[in-house]
Amino acid sequence: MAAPAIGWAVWGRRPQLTAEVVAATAWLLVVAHPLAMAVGVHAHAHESMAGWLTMAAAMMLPGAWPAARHVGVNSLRWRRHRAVGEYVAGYLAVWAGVGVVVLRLTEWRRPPLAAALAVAALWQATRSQASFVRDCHRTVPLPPTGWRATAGAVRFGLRNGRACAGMCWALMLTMAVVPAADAVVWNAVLAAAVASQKLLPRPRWTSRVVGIGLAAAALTAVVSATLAVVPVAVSVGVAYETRARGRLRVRASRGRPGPRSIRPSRPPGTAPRTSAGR
Amino acid sequence: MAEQYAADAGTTTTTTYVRKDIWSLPADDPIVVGYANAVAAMQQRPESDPTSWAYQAAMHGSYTTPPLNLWNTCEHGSWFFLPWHRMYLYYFERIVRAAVVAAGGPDDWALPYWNYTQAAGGNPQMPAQFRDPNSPLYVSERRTSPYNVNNGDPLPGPATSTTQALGTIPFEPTGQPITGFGGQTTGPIHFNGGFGAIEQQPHNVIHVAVGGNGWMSDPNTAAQDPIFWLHHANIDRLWAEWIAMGDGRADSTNQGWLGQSFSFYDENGDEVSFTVAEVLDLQTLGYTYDPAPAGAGGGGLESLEAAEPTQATADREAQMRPTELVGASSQPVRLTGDRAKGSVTVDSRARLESLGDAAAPRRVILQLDDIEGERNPGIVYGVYVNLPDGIADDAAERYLAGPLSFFGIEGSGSRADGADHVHSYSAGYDITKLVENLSASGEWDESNIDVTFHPLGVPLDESPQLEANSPPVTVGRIAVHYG
Repeated sequence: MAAPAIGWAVWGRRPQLTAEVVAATAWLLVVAHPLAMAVGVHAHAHESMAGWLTMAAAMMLPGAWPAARHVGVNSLRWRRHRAVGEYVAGYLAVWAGVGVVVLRLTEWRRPPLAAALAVAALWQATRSQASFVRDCHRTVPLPPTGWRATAGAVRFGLRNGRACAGMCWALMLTMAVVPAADAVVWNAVLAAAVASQKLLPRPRWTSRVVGIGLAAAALTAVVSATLAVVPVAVSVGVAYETRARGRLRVRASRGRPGPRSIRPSRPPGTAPRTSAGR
Repeated sequence: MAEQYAADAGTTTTTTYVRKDIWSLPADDPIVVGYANAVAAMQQRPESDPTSWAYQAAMHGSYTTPPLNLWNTCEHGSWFFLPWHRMYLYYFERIVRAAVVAAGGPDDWALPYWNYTQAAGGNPQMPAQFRDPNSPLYVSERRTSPYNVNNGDPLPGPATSTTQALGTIPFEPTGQPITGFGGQTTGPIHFNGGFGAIEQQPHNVIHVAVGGNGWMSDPNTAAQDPIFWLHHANIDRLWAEWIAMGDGRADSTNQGWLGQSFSFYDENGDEVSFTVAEVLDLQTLGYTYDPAPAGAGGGGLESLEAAEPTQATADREAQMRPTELVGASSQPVRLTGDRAKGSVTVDSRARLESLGDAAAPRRVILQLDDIEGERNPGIVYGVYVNLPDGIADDAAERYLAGPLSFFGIEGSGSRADGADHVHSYSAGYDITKLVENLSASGEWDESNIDVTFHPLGVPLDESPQLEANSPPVTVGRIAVHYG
């Protein structure tokens, strides 16, 4: 008897609940996925549309929390959760569109991680990125009832999703090429990078910190890829040596460059919350 | 003229500078003459000098690029609005005083204030010294239509009202949509940024009522007008009045607010800083207002009917109640300088869920959301509820929710390039009393609430057509919230 009462209280008091439920479910799936892989279920989260959308919901909805709340408190109570659902649908529709492009791209040619990180770092430094961050906070009128209410909430989702995709499409491109085994860690770090830019004051400063972190990660990826090549080169060299001496034939081992240990040098969420200066 | 106060221990004597009402001073008073001469002197200094007129004004806002240190640092749409401007005025006053003293003026010079609220004993005319074209205090970039500020036309009464601001009890927002006296907490969870009650009205409205299409209407040019500083001294004074009124009115105790520091330049051109906590007590800052802020009995205040204690408690409780959306317009209203109308219907199911069995709401808020415009049209609109057609101005007050201005709307435009998150522009009005009055006379019908926008200064029975080319502003939604 108590549980439904508590459930009702939560439902009634959290205008943004729909978005929170979707985000939490997405995170569960994202975390559960590597576990599933470990027990032998093979699927690449970022290589199917369902996987892509799950990832987008998990990574993007936390940063969209204030927008979802805005929809909730600016809707009539009885259609509040529906309105937030409509907003989330519009928002994720944009990400589905981005997903089509990214999945096609990675199917055709998979860019190296370092390149994806470098692109993301460069994008952080552009004025366009800053303008998309600002756009993330703009709202559209939400009519109260009828088809106009649905249209308003979906339009807000589309607009907010577009701003968000413009702000961090490059980060999500990175997500599409990270090694599957490390995906959860990347999910968490990049989701923090997204949310911090949207939620902390001084977004320009935060964007720069994120950009520097990405650049450092790109550099680390390049360096570690180079280092991974060293054993190969050494082996090849040794092989030549030995052949020249006419003794044994040594096959160079095929070490694969593996950017497994790469992390952005600094979690971007650590931007100091000093001021609301404008 | 200095008022000397012995410090508590009696060992030191400090000067408390007294900020006086500009209208209480004759045109040749040393305070006025000193200010005029100091403005002229500061205008002579190079722009790169932090004590120059241009530099001081640019700290508030500027179109000049690249910006120098501490330019464009004004705080608006935020709970830092009041303390930032108090600090700004404090150091500006020291810079001016140094210039006044250097020119042989009084060494106890203090910034005068302009009390424009007639209902509170003020004068809504631009002070005479600021209208003299030969004075450094004169600026031609002020409103000329529908009333001419530099001709001595008074500001419209509704633009100068302090009733809603001083009647607002909490400092911080207590929930959607009204933001409290001091403004929206600027922090990680804010989304729909709104102005604090005092910032919206009279602050924003006076800027545009004075500025028209001139300097005062734009944050990036406002501080170039010498009257800017007297307007802000009045806002600072109203903050002190608000505190003195008591009944639960108090500054925020949030550390995120108290601990925030901002930087300025002193009279030597050295960079200095204050935290918010350091500027909350006027005594420690060494200045006061004449008459001293004394709350409702202080004389400087608009005639608030002496509320009975039980009424004050009820007001406070009502203001702390969360409000909930019960109705909204389904289409935007476009404002182009003419009269415009929108309408709202209260949704019966939402009303039931919000109020339960209560027959009437204890609090009614009229909220204008998602206001969009690329440029401030320089018009102040009166926002009226259920205004009958053809009514005369003197009978219209009971329908007036409040004035609407668009000060700073450029900063919320899609092309804005601010350093912080930009939110859509909005305005809120507590119309509880208005609804009570209209209900009593049978003029309130929840299924049909009309909201009329009419430019202030244009008689209600005249067609405005102020500026044929007025940049359009769109009010995205008119909403009614019950508490």
